[in-house]
Amino acid sequence: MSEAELRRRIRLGAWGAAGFLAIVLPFVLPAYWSFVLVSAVTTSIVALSIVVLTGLVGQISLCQATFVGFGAYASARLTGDANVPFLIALPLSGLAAVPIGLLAGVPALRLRGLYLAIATLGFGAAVQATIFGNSTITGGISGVSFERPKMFGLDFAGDRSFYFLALAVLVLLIVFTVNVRRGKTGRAFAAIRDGEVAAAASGVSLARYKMMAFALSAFFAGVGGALFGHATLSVNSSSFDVFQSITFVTITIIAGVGSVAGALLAGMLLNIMPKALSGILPGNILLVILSTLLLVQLAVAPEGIVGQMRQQEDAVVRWILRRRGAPDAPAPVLEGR
Amino acid sequence: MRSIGPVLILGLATGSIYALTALGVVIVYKATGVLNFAHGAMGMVAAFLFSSLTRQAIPTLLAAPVALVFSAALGVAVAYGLRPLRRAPRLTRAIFMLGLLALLQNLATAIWGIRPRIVPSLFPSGGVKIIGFVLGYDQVGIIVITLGLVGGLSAFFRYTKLGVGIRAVSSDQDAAALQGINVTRITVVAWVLGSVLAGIAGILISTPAADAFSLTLLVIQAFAAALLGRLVSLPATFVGGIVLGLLTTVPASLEILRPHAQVIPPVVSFLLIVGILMLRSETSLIARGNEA
Amino acid sequence: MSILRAVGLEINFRGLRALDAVALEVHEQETVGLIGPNGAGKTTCFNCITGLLTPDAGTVLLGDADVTELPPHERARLGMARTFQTVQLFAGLTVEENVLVGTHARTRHGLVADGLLLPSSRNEERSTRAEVRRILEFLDLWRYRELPAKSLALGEQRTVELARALASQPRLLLLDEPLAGVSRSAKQGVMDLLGQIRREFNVALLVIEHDMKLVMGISDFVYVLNAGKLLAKGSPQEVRNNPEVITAYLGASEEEPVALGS
Repeated sequence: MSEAELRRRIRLGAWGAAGFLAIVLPFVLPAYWSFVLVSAVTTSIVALSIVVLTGLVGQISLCQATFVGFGAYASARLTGDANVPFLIALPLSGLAAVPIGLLAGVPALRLRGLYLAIATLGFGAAVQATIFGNSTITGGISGVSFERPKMFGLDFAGDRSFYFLALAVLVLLIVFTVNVRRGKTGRAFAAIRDGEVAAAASGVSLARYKMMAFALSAFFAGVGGALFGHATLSVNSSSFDVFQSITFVTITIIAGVGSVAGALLAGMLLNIMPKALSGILPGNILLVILSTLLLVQLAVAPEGIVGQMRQQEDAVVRWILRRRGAPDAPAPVLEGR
Repeated sequence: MRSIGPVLILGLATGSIYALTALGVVIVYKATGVLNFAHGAMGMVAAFLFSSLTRQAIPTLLAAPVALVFSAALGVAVAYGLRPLRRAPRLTRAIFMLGLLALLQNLATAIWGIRPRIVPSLFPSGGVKIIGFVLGYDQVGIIVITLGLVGGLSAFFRYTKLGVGIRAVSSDQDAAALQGINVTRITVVAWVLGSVLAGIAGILISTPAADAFSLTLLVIQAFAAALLGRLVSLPATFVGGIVLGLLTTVPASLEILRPHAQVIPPVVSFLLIVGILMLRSETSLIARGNEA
Repeated sequence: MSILRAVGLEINFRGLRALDAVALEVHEQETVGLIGPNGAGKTTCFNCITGLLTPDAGTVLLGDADVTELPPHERARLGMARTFQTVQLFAGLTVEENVLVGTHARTRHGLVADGLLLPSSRNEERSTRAEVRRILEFLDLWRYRELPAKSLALGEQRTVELARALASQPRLLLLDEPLAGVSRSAKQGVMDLLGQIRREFNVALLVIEHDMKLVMGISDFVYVLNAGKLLAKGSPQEVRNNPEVITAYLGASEEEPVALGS
């Protein structure tokens, strides 16, 4: 079997196992874990928005939580005051975040890397102070409340059922992302990331596609925000501040910003890991230790945990092929998929 | 004069603090190429430490230097912590600083809780009466300290071996190394300077109460002021800080904007940041290909 | 029929005049060479023509269209393609994907069609992949199509960049030092290839090169740039024997091969 075939099988196996776990876990773990799983899913959706923007297009954004917040508040208004059905409100909440995404993306037309990071950081802080500081929008100290949806004769008030709903949304977004990445748009995105100049010379409109990237990323984050709101049933503006943005970005980069797997891992790192270890240490100290570990991880492997796993995968593949007597071990495949 | 005087002084004092913290950012950036996103957070730790020490009945004038010693130690720790990443792209190292920001936030919450901490002033209360309004001792003190530090830094960079070394490393790290300059030591010194400046700014701005979030976010004001100095010029950064201070306090004194006073610093900083960056960046693609 | 006309190109960098009243023209089916000592401004000229740099003065006409104000991607859409002095392949994409990016301007489907795998997207994808396959097979790169672009040897990477440029079905192809880094024995092969491409793809060529043999061998017309100014122009023969040109090369640097014809 060829190397590519082998890798495909390994990947398929890994995804299959992940899918199996995703479906089985809520039934196997104690009931209070379902909420943790829901949080992992909503975090993964936000992380996916970062994978799209930063991993695929190479644009750094330190204001993702802003988009998340817009989606959450939009969904609250739509499902609450306007009585829009949940399934319609969800994409609309994503769309509500798009104009903000476009606004945040304007600096990206001229700025890159570090400077873009500063600009988006400032943007997030400015929005946090102005819009999210306005109590008519955010509901002040008591925050804004949500209800779990009732659809198709099912009541999603239970965490486990809501988990599967959120999971379905995550899967849809993942499929969309993979399709985009494999197609013309994904190639244009990657071209911008890997060589703006050559991309433009090849006919890719940088302005258009960068804006598109921010819009898409904001849409994903907005959907994540809406789900987050309905999951936690009440949000206040501190969930969407600069620190949240920073947390999202750093966790996703540590997990691996270049792939969908990284987004999923980010969701797990931020939610499942702390919960799993919470019995051992008090919450605050745990957070400190985890932050330290993550920092060390970042120093050791800037390419992310997924990147490290890829290297492991390479090693395994080489070992298997050698054992099967392949004439020569293949050269390590460069990062990129 | 009666009404504008206090506002101006407040602006100058605030601007002085912005200038101090921005100088810390620029010194580190020039010497190491790292943009310290955790700058405000590092200042926050010093401020909280200062607050705790004074609660143990340690006099403020002793507590402050002690807190700053910890700042210096933190600077050293960060300098060594970044060593594995020294060849990494600037953005990666900046992300690392973001991670450090998160770590420091969590640390502060774990140690001190989330409520704001009382921070006593280094200066006696009250002030001097001049031309019809009261010039607070603390405001004067801040401005004087800032001027003193800026003067000291200028002398340091011009006349001391370490100072000249930092300037050499800033312009060309490899050339400096070839000249026999110990780049590691310079890096550590730069980080210590930056961290201590962050600490001083944190302590000064925190009276009467230190709040972890706004202290950490002070870094945004620092960036705005630093950008006014194009991230490389210390004098321009100083001026930038003062200007930013005035820009954030003077409008807040207007009747219309007073209820929104909280909002003004981040918004002004953001507008400045984006404005400067966009105006300064090259229009043509090729030139931008060589930037950032 | 004129494919490219650049008139009065002028650009200054921090007080230094990098291009001064440069004018050149490329006709249909023509191969035009652009030569000159190092630092003469040849790549700067390319950058102005393709829109990566905005000249301070001058116009660029592609066919009938005035493209002077157009951004690079628009010029690509109108039929201008280029390769770069240092190979600019997209590191995260395979060989095939790199070349597919070249087809970008000619396809219409967008983000949503891609994401939802709509028929419009799938059909266009199929036809562009067929075109790209043709180009890759022509250049003997088809067997590498799944490999990461950067994993190929430099010479092959240059060919991939060429394939990407051709994928946009250009009327004009600008090549920036296509022979740089190519081994002596491979040079003739590249020259022949360029000739083949010119015929097979019906595209005009504007080539920057230091290698005189290539330039003289394939050019119908040659422009000589020195210190930002047009020093001479004419047939390869005329240029080769032009005393000013010889002086410019002799005076420029020791590295330049003095034998202008060999």
